[in-house]
Amino acid sequence: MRRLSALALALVACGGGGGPTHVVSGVSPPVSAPPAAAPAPAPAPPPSEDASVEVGLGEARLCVRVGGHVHCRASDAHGERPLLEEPAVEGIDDAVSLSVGARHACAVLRDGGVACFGDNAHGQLGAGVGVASSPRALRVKNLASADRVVAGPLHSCARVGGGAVACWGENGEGQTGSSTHYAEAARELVVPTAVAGVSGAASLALSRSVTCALAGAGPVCWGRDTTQQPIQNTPPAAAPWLAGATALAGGGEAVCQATRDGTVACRGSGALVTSMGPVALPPMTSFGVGASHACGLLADRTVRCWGQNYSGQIGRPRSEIGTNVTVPSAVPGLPKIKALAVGGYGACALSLAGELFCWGSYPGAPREGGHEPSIVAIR
Amino acid sequence: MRPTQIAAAVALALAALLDRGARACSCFGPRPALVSPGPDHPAPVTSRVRALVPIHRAAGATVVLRPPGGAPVAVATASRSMGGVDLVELTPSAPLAPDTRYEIALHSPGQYPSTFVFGTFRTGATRDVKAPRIDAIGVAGAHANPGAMSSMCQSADTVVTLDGISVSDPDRDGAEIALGVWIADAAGRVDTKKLPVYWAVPKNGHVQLGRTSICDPRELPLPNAPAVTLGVAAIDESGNTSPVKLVRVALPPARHP
Repeated sequence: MRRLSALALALVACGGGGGPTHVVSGVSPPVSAPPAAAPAPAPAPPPSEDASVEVGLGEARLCVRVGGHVHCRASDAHGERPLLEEPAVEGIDDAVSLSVGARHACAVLRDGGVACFGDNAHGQLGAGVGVASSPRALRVKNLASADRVVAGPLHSCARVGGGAVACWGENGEGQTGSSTHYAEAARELVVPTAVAGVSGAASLALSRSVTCALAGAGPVCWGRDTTQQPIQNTPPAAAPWLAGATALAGGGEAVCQATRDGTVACRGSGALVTSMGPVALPPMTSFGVGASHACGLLADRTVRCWGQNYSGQIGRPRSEIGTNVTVPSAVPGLPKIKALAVGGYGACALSLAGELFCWGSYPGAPREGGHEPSIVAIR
Repeated sequence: MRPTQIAAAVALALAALLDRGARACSCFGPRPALVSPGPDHPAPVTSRVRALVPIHRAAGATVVLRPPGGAPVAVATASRSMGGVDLVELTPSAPLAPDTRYEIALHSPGQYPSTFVFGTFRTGATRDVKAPRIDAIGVAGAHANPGAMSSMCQSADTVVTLDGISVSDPDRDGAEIALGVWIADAAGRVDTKKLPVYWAVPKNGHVQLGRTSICDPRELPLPNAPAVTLGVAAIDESGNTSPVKLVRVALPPARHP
């Protein structure tokens, strides 16, 4: 199986958060190798993390990281002031990467720590606190060498020490890799747990009840295993169904894999699994999964989306394309795109020129619904 | 024990109307819930742990008390059915460590995840060895809701209400005091060596015994009779129990159509 580089993880690893995902500004390496005859995309430059703009979208917030600060617009926000005019999230001033989950978000800090903010009903902030939520970012306990974090629907995972994985948050199905599940009444005890037997992790994908990684010894998943009958929860175990994966992304109830031949296939449950089969895409540089839809950033810097379209998350009106889009559809009206963020019931794309476009359901979306891309001011 | 705590414990085991149109009542299965000690105040080192645990649980599952992630504390375990849940009481064989956090978990060998931590509390430094008391207990009554709509999760069970309740603990202000309820035999005797058949926390001098929702797994096992005698005692976190007061309650007819 082809491994992704750390850079690929940085660019492609997509938190599930009811479909969250994040991307660093820049060009990611291809997740599906282009055909031999096709021109390869430009080599990926290393991410310039201090100078980069990183966008994350979840069900509860749209966030942007510029330099070390993170600014978020909440889903109940009114008005359309630029994202950078939203107050910076307290407790974060040296972030190097960002991941927005369904209702919480996390950032890797320059010192290798991780800080999370937002909903903590399931301990997904990992800070060992009993509060149900925190607008201020709290340090995740016992993490010191993280270089990537993925905020999922109800849990979070970080890559630490160059390839090990630690997770925290909801664990009812064993999706954190721990044998201990904490009720909400005991969330103050939730702290990261090292996932046993996982090393050399490149790509991580989190859905509501499953976590998968492309690890050094091969793909591995833990949590609710829908490939077994009856369905059961399993500790970390080899995932042969991901053997051809070049990148993973999770969201809602699904974990999806991109394969070398340009196919994206999902497992789990939800619309991406039950209502449609694998989809074929031209050469792609990254992809993300929302609660019930997915989008891919192609090597030609266009975006295609598929899945449910009740909120316009495909980027085209329901009246035009329907509510269940089984063939990836080009999102119209976008300039050349360099980064993509898919989460909840919407998506956002950052153009080469630095403009942010969003569609579907996102904080600040037009009252009648964002069925076509609209510009969201960053500055 | 705090009223909010019991409410939370019940809520965990309770219900939700999935369909706002109320076409159907759908209950979540009961989940383990810590009843006492509560999280709001440091617990006495003499505390016992009481929890509601579903009667349908994995074979071999045990309730454990331990420091977070640590070794289980040696305890004596007693339990009594309250309908769809068991009230489980853990009595530590020695006082708990002072100023220490503990967790309560249901450990189910062979399952993954195998341990479900459903509650936590922190001890203080005090011991509580004196029994609380019932200073007053007023009107007792019972009613049924024969028109209950199961589609709305309403229960037709008989519910006993006690009003004018006042309880106190002589050696601890802020003690979490619950009412334990037993059903007296025909001679009016109550066996307090057994755990109560029902457990409730008075709120504003009022308490309801029995289930108003079909999603509430706790049942009050009333006899088919015109009246029942209840034994009621105040019980603190440490298991200190007041003398039992007997309360005679007339029951509505045709409680079980």
